[in-house]
Amino acid sequence: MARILVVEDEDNIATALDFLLTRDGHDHDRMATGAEAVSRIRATHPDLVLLDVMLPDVSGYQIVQDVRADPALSDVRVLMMTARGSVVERRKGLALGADGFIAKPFELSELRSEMARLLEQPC
Amino acid sequence: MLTRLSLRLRVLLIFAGLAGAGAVLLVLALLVIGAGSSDPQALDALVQGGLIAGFGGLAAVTLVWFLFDRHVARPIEALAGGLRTGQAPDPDDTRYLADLGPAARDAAEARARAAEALAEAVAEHAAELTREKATLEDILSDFGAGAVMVDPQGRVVFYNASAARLLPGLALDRPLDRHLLPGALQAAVARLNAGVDATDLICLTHDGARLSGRMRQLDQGTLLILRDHAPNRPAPRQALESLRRHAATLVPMLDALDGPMPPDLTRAIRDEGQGLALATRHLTEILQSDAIGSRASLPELLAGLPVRGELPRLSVICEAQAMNALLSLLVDRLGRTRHPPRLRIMPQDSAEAHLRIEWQGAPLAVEQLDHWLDQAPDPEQPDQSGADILQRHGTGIWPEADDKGCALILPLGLASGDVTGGGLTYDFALASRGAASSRLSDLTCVVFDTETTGLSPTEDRIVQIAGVRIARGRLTGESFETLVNPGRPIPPRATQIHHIDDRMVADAPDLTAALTAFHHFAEDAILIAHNAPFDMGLLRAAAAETGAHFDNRVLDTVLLSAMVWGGSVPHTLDALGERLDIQIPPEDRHTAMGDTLATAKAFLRLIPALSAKGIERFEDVQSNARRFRRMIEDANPDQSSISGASGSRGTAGD
Repeated sequence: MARILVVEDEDNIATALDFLLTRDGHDHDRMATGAEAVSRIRATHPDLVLLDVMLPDVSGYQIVQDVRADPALSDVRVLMMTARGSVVERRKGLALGADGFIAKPFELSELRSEMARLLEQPC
Repeated sequence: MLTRLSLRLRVLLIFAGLAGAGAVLLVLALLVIGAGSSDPQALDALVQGGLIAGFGGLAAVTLVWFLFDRHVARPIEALAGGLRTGQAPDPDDTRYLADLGPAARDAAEARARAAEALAEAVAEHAAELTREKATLEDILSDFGAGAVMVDPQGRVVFYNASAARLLPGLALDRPLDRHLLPGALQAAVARLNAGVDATDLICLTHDGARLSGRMRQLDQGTLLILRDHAPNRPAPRQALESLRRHAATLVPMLDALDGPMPPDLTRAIRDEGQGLALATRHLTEILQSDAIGSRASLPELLAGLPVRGELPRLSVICEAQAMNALLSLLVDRLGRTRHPPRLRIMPQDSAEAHLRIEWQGAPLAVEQLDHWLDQAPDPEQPDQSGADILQRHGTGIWPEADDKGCALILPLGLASGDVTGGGLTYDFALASRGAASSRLSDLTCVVFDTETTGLSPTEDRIVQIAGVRIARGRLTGESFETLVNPGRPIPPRATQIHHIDDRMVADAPDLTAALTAFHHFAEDAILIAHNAPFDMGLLRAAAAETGAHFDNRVLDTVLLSAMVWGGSVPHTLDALGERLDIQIPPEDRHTAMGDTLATAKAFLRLIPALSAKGIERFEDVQSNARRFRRMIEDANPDQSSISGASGSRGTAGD
C-alpha cells in the first residue's frame, strides 16, 4: 500500500481514479486545485503524486518545478497526466522533473503499470 | 614572291638594284669610251672620274634609301601595325606621309570611340543579364515546387532548394533515376516524344514518397517541376468515424451498468474503451502532423537576436516571422530582470535541434514563462499568443537550470535536404558535354578531407569529414561537412592540431551515420584528396564497420603535384598552396572544410598545368602514375590510390 495524492480537477476522472486506488488498497487523497498542492505535499510527504497538467489555477508544470526545487521532496514520485497528447508535452514534463507522464485518455492498466514502476511494486 | 617580303626589305632591294644597275652602266660606259682612246693620261683621268662618279652615285642612292626607309617605309609599317591594333600613330613619325598620318589618327580615334561605346553597351547588357539572372535565381530558389533539369542522358544539370528537399542527396551530374523510379519518367518522356510540349506525371521516389509534377521538353534536355503529392495519410474523417463508432457502441453498453454485468459485456466495454483511446491518439497525431509546412534558415529565424557561437547551416520547420517575434519577446523579458541572454542552436539528431536561450542568474519559474507566453509577440497578429505559436509548431518550451547557468529549451524540427548549400545549383554546360568525357576538366569529382584521432588509417578514427563537389572544372556549391563521434577519447595532441575535442563530438553522428551520408554524397564521383592513400585508407578500413564501401576512382593531388613539378620539391598542402597562390586562412587550416577547399582549388589550378604536359585525361594520369609514384616514393611509400588499392600511412599530406 502506498500513500498517493491525486491533483485533478475533472470529477469523472477523479472518481475513476478513486475507484482504482481504493480497489488496489492505496491510501489516497484528492485536491481539485493546485494552489495548495505543494504545501500539502510538504505536509503529507506522499509516495506518489498523480498530477494533472491543466489545473484551473496553477500549471501542473509549475507544481512539479516547485516540488523538484525542494530537496526535502526528492523521494516523492510525480506522475503527470494530460489531455494534450503531444510528445513535446511529455518531454517538457520529464525535463522539469516528473518521473512519469501519461496521456489521457489512458487505460487503467496503463496507469497501474506506470504507478507500479514508480512505486517499484509489481503490477 | 617579293610580296611576301616586308615593305622595308623590298625598298632596300629596289635601291640596291638601282645602285647595281648604275654601277654596271658606268662600267660599260667607261669600257666603251676607253676602247676609243689611246691616250694613257686620258684613260687614267677617265677611270678616276668613273670611280668618283660611281662612289658618288652609290653614296647618293644609299642616302636616298636611308631617308626613304626612315621617313616613309618604316612609318608605313608602323602605321599598318597601329591600324591593326587600333593605336593612333605618332605625328613625328608620319610627318613625311602627307595626309596619311592625320587620316590614320582620325581612323584610330573613331575606332577607339566605337570600341568604347561597344564595350559600354556590352557591359550594360551584361549587368542587366546578371541582374535578371540574380532575380530569376531568387525566384527559383524560393519557388515552392522543386525544379530539376536533366540533360538528354538523364543527368541532373540544374536543381533548386525545393528539389533538394524533395529528393535528398540530389547532386549535379547524377542520374535522376537514382532518385525517382524510372517507369513514370519513361512514360512521360514517351508522351513528350508523341509531340506535346509538356505533360503531367506522378512519380515515386526510391523511398516510396509520391510526387506529382509536370515535365517539359527543352532544347537540351528536360525540365521537371515536382511537388509533394497529396499526403498519403488517412483523412481525419476516418479517425472521426472510428471515434463515433466506439462511442456509439459504448454508450448503450454503459446504460446496461445498472444491473450485474455478464463477463461478455465487461470485455466488450473494455475493448471499446481501448478502441476509443486509440482513435483519439490517432486523431491527435494527424492533427499534429498538420502543424507547419514552412521552413526557415537559422539567420532568418534568429535575425536581430543575440546569438552565441557560429550558426550551423541548417533549416528548421518554422514560420520565421512568428517564431522570431516570440523569441524576441522572451529575450526582452529575460533581459529586463537577468543578465542579457544569448541564443544557441544545439542539433540533437538529423530531425531535431534544440534552440537554447541561455543566461546567467536566477532560474525562471514556469508560471512566469506561461505568463509571457499568454502575450501576443507579433503586433501584426494580436490574436496569436506565444502559446498559440508554439502549439501551431507542435512544440513547447521549458526552463532548465544547472551549475553552468539557466536556459529555456525550445525543440524545433529540422528540414531535410540541408546537405547542399540551398538556393540554386546548376551548370547548363553539362548538358552540352560529351557523355563519357574523361578530360580532367570535364570530370565530376568530390574533393574531401578528414580530421582524425591520429596518423594511422587502420588504427585511428575520423572526427570530422568534409567534401565539396566539382563538375566540369568548377565548384558546384554543393558541400558536405560533419563532425563525427569517434567512440573513443580524442588524444590531446590531435586536438592541438585540429582543435576538435571530446565535448564537440559528444552529440555528433557516429562513424556509420556520417560515412553512410558521405557515401551518398560522393556516389558516382571521382574522389580527390591530398595524400589520398591516408584518407582512402580510413574510409576503406571503416567499410567493415559502416557497410559503406568506397570503390570510387581516386585522384591524389600529391601525385598530380609531382607530375607537374617533379619529385625534388615538397608536395605538402601548404607548399602546393604557395606555388599555386592559394591563400588558406590560418583558422581554416587543419579543419576538414578548410583543407578540402584548398585541395579543390589546387586541383582546379593543376588542370591547365597538367594539360601543358600532355596530361589531359584520367587515363593519362593513370598511365603516368607509376613513374611519378617512384619519384615521390619517400613521401608516399604505398601510393597506390590510382589503381584502387588501399594506402598506408601518409606523411606528405595534410
